[in-house]
Amino acid sequence: MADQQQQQQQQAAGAGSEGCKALGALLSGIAQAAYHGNAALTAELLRGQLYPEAAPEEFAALRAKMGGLLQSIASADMDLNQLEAFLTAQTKKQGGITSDQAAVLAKFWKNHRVKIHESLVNQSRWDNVLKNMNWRVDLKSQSRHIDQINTPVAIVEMELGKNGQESEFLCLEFDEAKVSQMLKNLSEIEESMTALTQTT
Amino acid sequence: MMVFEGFASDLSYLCLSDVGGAADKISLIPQDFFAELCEQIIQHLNHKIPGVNTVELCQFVDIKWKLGVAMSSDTCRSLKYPYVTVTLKVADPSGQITDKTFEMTIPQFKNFFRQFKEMAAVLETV
Repeated sequence: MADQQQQQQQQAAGAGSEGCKALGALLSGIAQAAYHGNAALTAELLRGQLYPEAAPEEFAALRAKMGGLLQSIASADMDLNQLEAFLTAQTKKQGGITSDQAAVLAKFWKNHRVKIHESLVNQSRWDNVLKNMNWRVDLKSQSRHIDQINTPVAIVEMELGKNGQESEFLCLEFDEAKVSQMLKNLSEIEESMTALTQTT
Repeated sequence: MMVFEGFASDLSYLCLSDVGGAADKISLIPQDFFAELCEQIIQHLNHKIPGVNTVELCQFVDIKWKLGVAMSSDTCRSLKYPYVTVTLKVADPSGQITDKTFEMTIPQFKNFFRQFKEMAAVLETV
C-alpha cells in the first residue's frame, strides 16, 4: 500500500519518464482547454487518462498548480531567460515544483509558445478582420463614357467579419489609377511597419 | 428558358454522343447562335449558383489607415502584437458613401499588399 502510494506521489511529482510523459500530456490538456477552446477535456477525463491511480483532490491540486504556472508563463509570454529564472524560483519555494517538473514545463513552453501566444492574440481581436480576399481582372466593354471601352478593371471581393461571426462580403471595383492609389497608401503603411519593428 | 432547354439538350447530345468530335460539331453551329446559347447557359448558372454575382459592386473611393500595437489584455499581460486598421471609403451603386473598417496583422497586411501589386501587374499587361 505504502509502495503504491509512493509510486503515485512520484508520478504526480513528475518523477521518472512515466511521470514526465503524464505531466506533459496534462499540460497539453490544460492548454487545449484554456487556449484552444477545447472544452471537452474536462478534469475528470484528464485524471482518468493520465493519473488513474491518483485521488481526485490530489489531481485537482496538481492541475491547479500547473495551470497557474502555465498561465503566468503565457501571460508574460516568457522568453527562455525569463522562463529559466521563473522556473528556478519555483523549484526553490515552499510548495513549489520539483526540478523534473520544471524541465517538463520548460520543454512544453518551448514547443507550444508560438501557438499559445497566437491563440491569445486572436482572443483579443474582436473588431472586424479581413478573413479572405479574392480578385480577378475584367475587361469593361461597355460604358457611358467612350474612353472607358475596353478598360481593364480589377474586381476584388473581401470577406470581412468578426471572429466567429457571420461574414460580410464587400465587392469593389478598381481601375488602374485606383490600384495605384491603394499601392501608394499600402507602401506608406509598410514604411511605418518597418520603422516600428526596428525600434521595438 | 424553353429555348435554352431545347438547345441545351441538343448541345449535350452533340457533345456526349461523340466526345472526340465535339469540337468539330460545335464548329458546325452558327457562331452567333452558339454565342446566344452560351449566354443563356451563363444566365441559367447565375440563377442556380448564388455568390459573388449577388453582391453589389461598389466603387473604391479612398483609404484611411493607422498602425497600432496591442500591448496587453485581460487574458495576456504581454501581447505586443502590431496590427494595422484600415478604413475603406466605398460608394455603392446608388452613390451612397460608406466606411468599411477592418484589422490586419502584419502577415495579413503583407499578403494584402502583395495581392494589389499582382493586380497592378495584371492590369498593365491586359
